[in-house]
Amino acid sequence: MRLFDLPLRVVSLYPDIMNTYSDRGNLLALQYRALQQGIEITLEEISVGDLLPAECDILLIGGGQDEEQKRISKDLKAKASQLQNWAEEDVSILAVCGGFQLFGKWYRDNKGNYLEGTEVFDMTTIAPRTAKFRAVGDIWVTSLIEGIGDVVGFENHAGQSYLGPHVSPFATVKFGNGNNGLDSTEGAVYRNAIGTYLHGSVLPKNPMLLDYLLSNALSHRYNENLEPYFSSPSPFVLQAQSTAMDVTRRKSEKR
Amino acid sequence: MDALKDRIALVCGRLAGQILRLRRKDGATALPGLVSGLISKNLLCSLSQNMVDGVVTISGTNGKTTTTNFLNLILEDAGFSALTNGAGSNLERGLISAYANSVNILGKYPKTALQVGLFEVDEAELARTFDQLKPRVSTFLNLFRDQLDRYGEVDNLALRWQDMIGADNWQGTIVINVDDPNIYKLQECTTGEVTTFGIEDDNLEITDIHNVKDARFCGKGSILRYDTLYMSHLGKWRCDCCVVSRPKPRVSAQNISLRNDSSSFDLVIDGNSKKITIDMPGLYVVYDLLAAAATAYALEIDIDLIVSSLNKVKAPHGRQETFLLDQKEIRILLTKNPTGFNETIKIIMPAFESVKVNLLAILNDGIQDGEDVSWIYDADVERLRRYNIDLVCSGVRASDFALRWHLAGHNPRLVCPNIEEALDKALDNVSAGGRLDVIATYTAMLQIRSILVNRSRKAKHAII
Repeated sequence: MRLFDLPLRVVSLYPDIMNTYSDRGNLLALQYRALQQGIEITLEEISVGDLLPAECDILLIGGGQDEEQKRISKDLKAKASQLQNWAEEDVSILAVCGGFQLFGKWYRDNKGNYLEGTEVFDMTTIAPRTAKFRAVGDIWVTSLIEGIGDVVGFENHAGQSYLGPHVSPFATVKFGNGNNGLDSTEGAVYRNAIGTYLHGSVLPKNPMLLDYLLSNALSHRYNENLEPYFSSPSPFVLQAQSTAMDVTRRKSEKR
Repeated sequence: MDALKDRIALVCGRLAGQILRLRRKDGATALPGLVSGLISKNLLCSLSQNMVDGVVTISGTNGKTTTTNFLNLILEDAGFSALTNGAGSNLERGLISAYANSVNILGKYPKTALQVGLFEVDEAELARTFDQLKPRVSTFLNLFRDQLDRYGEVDNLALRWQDMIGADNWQGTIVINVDDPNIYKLQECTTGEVTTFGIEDDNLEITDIHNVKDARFCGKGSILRYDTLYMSHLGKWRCDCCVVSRPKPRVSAQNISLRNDSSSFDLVIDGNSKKITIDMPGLYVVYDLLAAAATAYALEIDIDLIVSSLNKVKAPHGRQETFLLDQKEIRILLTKNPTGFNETIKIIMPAFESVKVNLLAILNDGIQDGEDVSWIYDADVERLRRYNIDLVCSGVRASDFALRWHLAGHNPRLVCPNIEEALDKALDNVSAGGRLDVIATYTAMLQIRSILVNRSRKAKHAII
């Protein structure tokens, strides 16, 4: 069954480097869901030194350790203006953890080194020098994007992110730390670009977020909203999400 | 006075252990250490001093327990008496428990000749306790991503180890796996003796280069190249920018032959080649045997003795241990990180796609399992897509595991968090003479094992 005529063009950015926390699951979930909906996907994996393709409907980038972030930052800077253009053109973007940090303006690591970001998000991130604090644990947030609702995952970051006036938070924190552990915000949204700290991987068990990204990508490709055509997610997806919610609530009550 | 305080602490720990054992048959691997540790902070020093022939530590992400067991066997055969922390109780409290459980009623450790302390130590805990333990030999197996939620990042751990063995007041021997670039780097930091081990087999068929790579860059940030890749990021690597490549190891495995239920290879120690055959499958077992052999060699144990001991090893508990119940074989495969999962997948994969695999997959998310279950997405479960699998998912995160398998094209027949119930349901579809493979994270392994041990015990009574 082919519901849609044109393939969606997916770009996975630095999959060989930015995958410390298994964000590869996001691509697996996207591919699975697309297949289920009769959407064909062409995937381009882009790493350091590769040129970005001319067109893209969905862009994914995952998390990495400080060393890996350093490794890509120069290359990412070279790609920044095209990535900004894509964000302005409403390309669907998901940037997770380390990738999210580098989609802000800059990231300062715990040794005081600055890494420049793509500036897709009006946001800065600081890993405190004397950090005993590391945000680690199950997290449950409620998205501020209409229709997405609750989102669950696992966060693991030393960096604390602060949003500027030109970007909105992706969600408010129900259980967990979020951007900085202070202002209850989690992630960032600019047009169709979403940044978040959530691993898990986040897309497999958050079907509303996955469908949101997918339908934005279809709108980008076809200029119309096609989400109503989507079938409901598999029971395995919903069960995994509700278990994650139970676990998160139980663990946070214990703390 | 300190010595007296230590003895009081040990006696209290010993007592706590005895009381606990009155109520439970197994265990007392943590409580004595906790109790003793409350009274004296100095016990690891005292432990170390009592080991006449020194302390040996085994650390690394994968293979600690198995390597420790193999080495223990060699040490026994060589006439040593080893104080050891079995069963993966590898935090400070586990070490002190082993110590407290073996002191006499006056809190004195019975000193004997040929006494060694052989301990598997958790990767992060090693850096914290190294100062006090002052090991004579410290063995480093590998560093994979495992429980990032607990350890921070792999790179940090590698740096901490470098500082630790580079300390001025330590002059022990390190035994290192040179196939792991992160581990190899340790030799640059020590002025002491170094014994290297690794695999030397260019014919070893590597069918997949998967996504798991934890040491991709040299210190200057260049990408490492691999001439041969054995497993994850272990292999014959080189760095063009530093002009460094993996050296030829002193202790190596060559002509490796891996079968579904056994492995054999030539163990080559400084040019001496001897055949080893064991009834455990999997390349990682070869690494564990190598590590045990290299450590024994560093302890100056005779090569022939090492070989004869290793030729009679058996799987330690929960690591490919098998049980036989109602004519059905149940095999436990401890699986707790992507590298281990990929190896497990190779072991359960039958020779033909049509052969049915009965699988119980259990995922827990306790501290010892890793609270972050993301890692299941990094293993190449998709390799099993075309195989015929009867799957039951269980554990606290049964539904996360079910979703992972679902994305790889296998919908579980049943998702059941209760492990005992899941086991029964999984066994329902195993025919007599058939096998059930159980994939389990650490605490899940302990649970399923205890169920199986109980059932075996009851079955024996029934026969008598």
